[in-house]
Amino acid sequence: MKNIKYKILTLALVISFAACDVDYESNPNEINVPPTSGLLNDATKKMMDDLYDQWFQGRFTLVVMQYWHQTVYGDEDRYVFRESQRETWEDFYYNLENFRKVIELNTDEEFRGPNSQYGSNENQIAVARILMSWSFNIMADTWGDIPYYSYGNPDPSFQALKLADVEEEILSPQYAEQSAIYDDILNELQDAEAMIDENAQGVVGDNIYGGDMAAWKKFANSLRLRVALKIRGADPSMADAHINDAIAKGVFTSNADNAGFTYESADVNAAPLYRAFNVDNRTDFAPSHAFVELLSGRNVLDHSDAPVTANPFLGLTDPRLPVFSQLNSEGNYVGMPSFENSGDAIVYTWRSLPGDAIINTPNFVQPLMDYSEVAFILSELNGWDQTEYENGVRASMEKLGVAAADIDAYMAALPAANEESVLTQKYISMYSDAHTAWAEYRRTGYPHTFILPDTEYSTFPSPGVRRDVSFTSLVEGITDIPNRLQYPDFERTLNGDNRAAAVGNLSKGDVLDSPLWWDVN
Amino acid sequence: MKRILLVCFLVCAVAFQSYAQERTISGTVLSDEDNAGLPAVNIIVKGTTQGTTTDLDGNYKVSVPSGDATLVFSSIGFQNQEIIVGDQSVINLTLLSDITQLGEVVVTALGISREKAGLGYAVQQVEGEDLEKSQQTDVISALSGRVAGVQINQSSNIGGSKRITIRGASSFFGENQPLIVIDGLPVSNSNFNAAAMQSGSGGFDYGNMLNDINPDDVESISVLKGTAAALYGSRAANGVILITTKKGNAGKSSFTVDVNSAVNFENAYVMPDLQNKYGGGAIVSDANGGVDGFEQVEIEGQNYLVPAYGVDESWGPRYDPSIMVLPWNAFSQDYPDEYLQQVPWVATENDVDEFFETGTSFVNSIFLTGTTENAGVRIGFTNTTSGGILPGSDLKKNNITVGGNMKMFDKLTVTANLNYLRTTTQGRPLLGYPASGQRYGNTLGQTFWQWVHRQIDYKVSKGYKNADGTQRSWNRNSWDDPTPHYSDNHHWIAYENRPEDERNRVFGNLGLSYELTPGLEIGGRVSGDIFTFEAREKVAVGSQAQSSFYKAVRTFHEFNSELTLRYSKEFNNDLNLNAVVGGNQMRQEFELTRGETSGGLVVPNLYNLLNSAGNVLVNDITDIKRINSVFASANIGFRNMLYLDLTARNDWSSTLPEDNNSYFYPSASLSFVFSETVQLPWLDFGKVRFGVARVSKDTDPYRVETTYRFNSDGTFQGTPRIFAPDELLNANLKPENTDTWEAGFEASLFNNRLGIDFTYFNNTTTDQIIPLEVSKSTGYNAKFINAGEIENKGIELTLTGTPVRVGDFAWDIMVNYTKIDNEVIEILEGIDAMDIATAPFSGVFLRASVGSRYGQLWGYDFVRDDQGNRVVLDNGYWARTPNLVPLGSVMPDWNMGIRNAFTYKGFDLSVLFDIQQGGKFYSVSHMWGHYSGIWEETAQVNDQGNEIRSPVSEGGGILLDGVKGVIDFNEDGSYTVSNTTPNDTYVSGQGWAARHYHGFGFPSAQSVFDADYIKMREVTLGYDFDVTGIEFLRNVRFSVYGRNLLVFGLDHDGLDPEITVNGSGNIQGIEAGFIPQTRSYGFKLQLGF
Repeated sequence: MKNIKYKILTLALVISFAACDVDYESNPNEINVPPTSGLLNDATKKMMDDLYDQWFQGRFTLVVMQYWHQTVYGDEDRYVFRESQRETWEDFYYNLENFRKVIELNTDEEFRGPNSQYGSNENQIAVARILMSWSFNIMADTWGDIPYYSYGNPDPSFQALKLADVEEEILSPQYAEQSAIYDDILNELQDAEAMIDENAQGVVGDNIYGGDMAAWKKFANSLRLRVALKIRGADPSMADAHINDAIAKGVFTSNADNAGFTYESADVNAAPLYRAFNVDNRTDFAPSHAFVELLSGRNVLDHSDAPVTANPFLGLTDPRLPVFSQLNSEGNYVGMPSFENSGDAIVYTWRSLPGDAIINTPNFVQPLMDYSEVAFILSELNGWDQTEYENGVRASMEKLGVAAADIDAYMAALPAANEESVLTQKYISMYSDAHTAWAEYRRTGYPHTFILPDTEYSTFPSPGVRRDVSFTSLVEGITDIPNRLQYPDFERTLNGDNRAAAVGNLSKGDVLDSPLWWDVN
Repeated sequence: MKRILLVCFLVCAVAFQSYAQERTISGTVLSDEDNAGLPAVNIIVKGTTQGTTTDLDGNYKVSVPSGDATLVFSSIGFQNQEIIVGDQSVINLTLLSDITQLGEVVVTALGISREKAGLGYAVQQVEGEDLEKSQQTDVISALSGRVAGVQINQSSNIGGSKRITIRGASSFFGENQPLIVIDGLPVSNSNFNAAAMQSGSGGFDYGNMLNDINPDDVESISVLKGTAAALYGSRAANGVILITTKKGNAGKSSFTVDVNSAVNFENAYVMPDLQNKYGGGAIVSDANGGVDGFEQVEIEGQNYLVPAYGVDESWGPRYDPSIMVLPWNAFSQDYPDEYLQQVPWVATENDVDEFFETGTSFVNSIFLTGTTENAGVRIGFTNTTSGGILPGSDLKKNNITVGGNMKMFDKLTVTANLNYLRTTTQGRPLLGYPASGQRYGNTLGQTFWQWVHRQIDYKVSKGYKNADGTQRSWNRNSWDDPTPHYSDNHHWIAYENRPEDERNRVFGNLGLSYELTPGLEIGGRVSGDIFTFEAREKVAVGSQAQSSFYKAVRTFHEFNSELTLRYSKEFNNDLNLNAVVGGNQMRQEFELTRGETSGGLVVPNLYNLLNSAGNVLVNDITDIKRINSVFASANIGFRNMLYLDLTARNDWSSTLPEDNNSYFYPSASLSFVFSETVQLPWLDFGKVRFGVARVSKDTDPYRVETTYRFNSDGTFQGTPRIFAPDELLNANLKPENTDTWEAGFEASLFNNRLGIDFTYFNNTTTDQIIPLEVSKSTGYNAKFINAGEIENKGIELTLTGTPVRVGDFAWDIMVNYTKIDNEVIEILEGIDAMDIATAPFSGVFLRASVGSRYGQLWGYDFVRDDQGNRVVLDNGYWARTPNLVPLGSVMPDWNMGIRNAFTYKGFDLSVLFDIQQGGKFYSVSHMWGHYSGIWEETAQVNDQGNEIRSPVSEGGGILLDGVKGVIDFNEDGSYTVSNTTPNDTYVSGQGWAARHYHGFGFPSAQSVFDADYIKMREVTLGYDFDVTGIEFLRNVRFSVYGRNLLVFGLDHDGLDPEITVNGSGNIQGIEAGFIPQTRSYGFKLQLGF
């Protein structure tokens, strides 16, 4: 008997030794309730980096818009884009989810109280809505139909960013149609502007306006102007209603209103193009031949000196040239052509590099939107109004620090406002925002100074020295600047049906030259 | 020879016994093989726990009770013998050898040694002495080809990674490698290679932590698969590698010394052939001012031809000894012999192979073993000093091990093991293709096979530095700008950007067991595995990339406390029972503290985090995991014929939600030794067995409660940066389950000349905890859920045979064959595939895709007509599928190891072949090596006998082997090909080569290859000297051996599939910048005193 008790006791001891349940081990590395200022700060910075880095801007929008060409491996200049460029899609959505989190943590009863220390809840929500609208506008301009999220609109086709939503939990969102997306972006900007209370506490973690809520109102209105103008061809009545309302509520009136994102001086948080040239040590880009010729007041010539593109500012040297481009080793401004092969490109050592203000300024201010654009829009809306046109050109130059005397001299010789001059000046002023310039080209067809595929032309590396080159697209059948970027391939396996439906809405399918909804001419 | 099979043998047969008067019996046990004294024979008084073992000379003394006592003599490899004592006081006998390994004892779960004959599942054991015959580099690669059901991929990078899986991959994203248990102690086999590096981005191969184990300390390695492993709990879902180390075992008085010494040489082996007809750069056309294809420049008043050094390709002019050019190294006045010295434009005399050195290793060890009646201890020290094949690389390792046991107060046994090791490594290779944003410069693999000038002389490039410390790169921006454009000088990478790492590790255990009553034993054990691993990565000032310093300190510890109660009883000689009940507490903590400079280094050559121009970026990560468990097992044997094993375990894990964190799982197995009832003259032994088990599994820490992460780039504009991670967590996770069953038979035939061990297994894992990849437009990359089903079924076959045994000569063959049929059955409705990894440049994706084998490479394939011909476009280039399509799995169809062993007198020769069939891999080096005109194929001669680099109009170019036709693509990617005609369009050589890059719209399948190989893995020739008569010597053995001596059957002769082993994880089959695998050979001397 004693023996059995002994055994039972021992058995009990053995089991009780480990039988106790364990608690969940919480993550000691991360935050349960984050300050919304931290989320806003991080998401804004990442959105700026993703859009304006050397890959999406440097090797995509800047080369497509022929502000730049690559100095050696120029595949993207000829429209062979990398899968990783299409995959910027995912980074954009991660950032958008963090903007949405800012809204959620300023809405949720449990968290809105503590988070009001980083700006009034409404002001934080409004800023997140504006930045989401700004981001979605860029994405829709890039791809066309995309999965979309709206704060204010319960449209069932808006299914992005709903994974964390326990009730809906959408793993593979539908693609919203562009008409609905732009409509909603305009409404979101309108509502967000109205949501801002200038007298309530400004937003903390805002590195665009530093919490100046009045400035955010102007930005919301100006951005609405940009978006409405773009879709005016496709939906004039909707566009005009927003244009009139935005102008009435107040748009940018000077460079002081510009929406710009200021980087830090230290390398780690320095501007993306500074990092490309100074941290990665990639001297892969130079201003393009077409752009340098435009700013130099020359036509791009063919082999018999006949113009292949016509420069509306013929004979007029733009004082912004020294800002945009450095002198080459021989003391000239020489743009880079797009080459057929890398071997030819490398001997093109006489090119100029982009200007110090662009690539060697770590604390560069990356514009989201400038007053000059608003002035050019107003000129267009008012029948190519001369005053607004001049305001635009002058504002662009002043912003870049061009000396007053040079500005005056240039303005004095400037051809009068008309469709070509205004839109070409608008193009020049958008050197640091090539993505918007791309949308403008698709909307208007300006500038006319691009070298389109299948063009033979001549370059002049030194005075009197001629080099003949030609430009052909590596993608068969492309004869103009691409209209869009292809969807990232991972959507085929992860969201195949919805992607296929969206592709069905594209007139030529998921290719570079399918025009977008608003591209009507 | 059967003495080889000696393993630590625990006496289990116990029973109640009353004690009476005792008397002593003594005698000598001899072996029938050589009539010599047989040591370590177990002698038990039948029906009691009393017993002893024979000493070195086969002598013994044992006390027996008066009355009818029977002694049982047993020794592995010999038939048991029972002797009735009667009134004898001296009993001498000769044990008859048991030619097969039927009496073989294997170590099973919880370290219990059992006769293999009685197991209801497959267990295969590799003996330490077998491994010791040649100098093994590490424990995992030593298993290659030796065990059925096990697949091993091994890189031969210095201290590099090895991956081992048992019965296939069962988890989409989780750990698929087995649990490693050493002397009952789970030890870490972590691999800290970054995921990006494993999928082909830049990074170092830090190897896996099992590399720490000294193969010379191994007594045996037992591989537990499926059912056999269930008792080890969650972490054993992928099987268990059970390592038993050598110890001093109490029992007899002895003192031995073993000294081993080995020298090993290693050379780079398989590498691609590179072209030797054209130099680097580009051809500068006359229109661009070129002369003979070169740029002409004026320096100090004289004209020179210079190649385009800024282009890191080899599409330059054809070699012509009459053309003199200024080489890259002609511009530094620090090298007056080379300054402005022209050289003829010819192929290099010192090519890539000149860069690699002969790696030399020395392994020296000494082991002291002392035992007494009641205690035994073994102390060992091993020093390994290795130089790798890369200049400046070396690895130093010191292992100290102490292990022993002691019997105290009759019923208490104490065992203790302690191991300390320290490994320092310098110059691990930077592998892969660094991605944008990675701090690394270019990797050696890139500069050998992808982006280089073919005429570079690798001896000349040893002058990689100027007097002022600046770099001399062959890839200067241009002749008048020495800044490295894309590439650093190879030697600069090897010497200046040389990483260092250091690991200090202690593991060991302390166990007590006490016999409560005869047959009932309580045991307690605590074990710990603690290491600190510090890695230092450098980019020197003057490199192409911004200078930086990175330091990561990882500390890890795991403690297990285990209490077990063991009971064993024999009922009337027919029925045996062994039962175990136990509990275990596991505590694991991992910490990573990492710092990285930003903005470059302030001063050169000082590698300290504070030498940072900008903020120091840090990470601070702690992972804690706890599991509590209770378990029980029982095995019942009936008349040595029928055996039933039952196990059960319940775990509570800290990684699961508190409502779902308890999970129970059982196993059962049955075996029937039919040769006990069926008597056939040719059948010596026969057994069938069947087992079934479930193993449930938890997950990694912190996948339940949503949290937000700090950006490791620090604050921005004075405000913290915080974000929601891109994997959404889940508060409703539950454990995942692997269900497995297996059936097998074992037989020994024809007087034990032929042995067969066959297993069929099937395991299915369901409810996996996976980061389910979702459309990124959800704002997340993935959400953790329980989903998916993956099935592995296959066969394991081991054949052993002795074709010849004549006199002193014997020829033994052992074949291990493994075939695994794996299928991803389901992920989640609507989800067809999930990415495991993406190769650099997105040419292929490694995926788990429904309906196909796990680890499927998806890429852009050739378009093929009905006959399987590749289709070319009208322009003569390949057509490709518009979508990514499955190109095959990285996992092989089958593996086979064939070992032939010959013995003649003191000589032994063993040859091990390792064969893999099936599986695919993707080579980025192949893609860029063609694009850039470096590989031999880019300078081949076409079918008309002309250089493919010559213009098509002059008979050059290349005619691709395919047909033209009309291709109609459907939106889903399917297509039809019609109106095919033979291809008749030549395309330019460079055009074809450049189109190996899929980004231009061409097939990435061009760089996908079969991973088949046949490797002569190991050859050992040894001689055991006859030391009888030399009093102080126990044994002397000398052996020569070679490893990976020959490789056959490669799909591409220059690419060994094992170059794609960039880690131990699930990301396999992608290569983007490799260092060649090596073949090695060496000598080993073993002395026993």
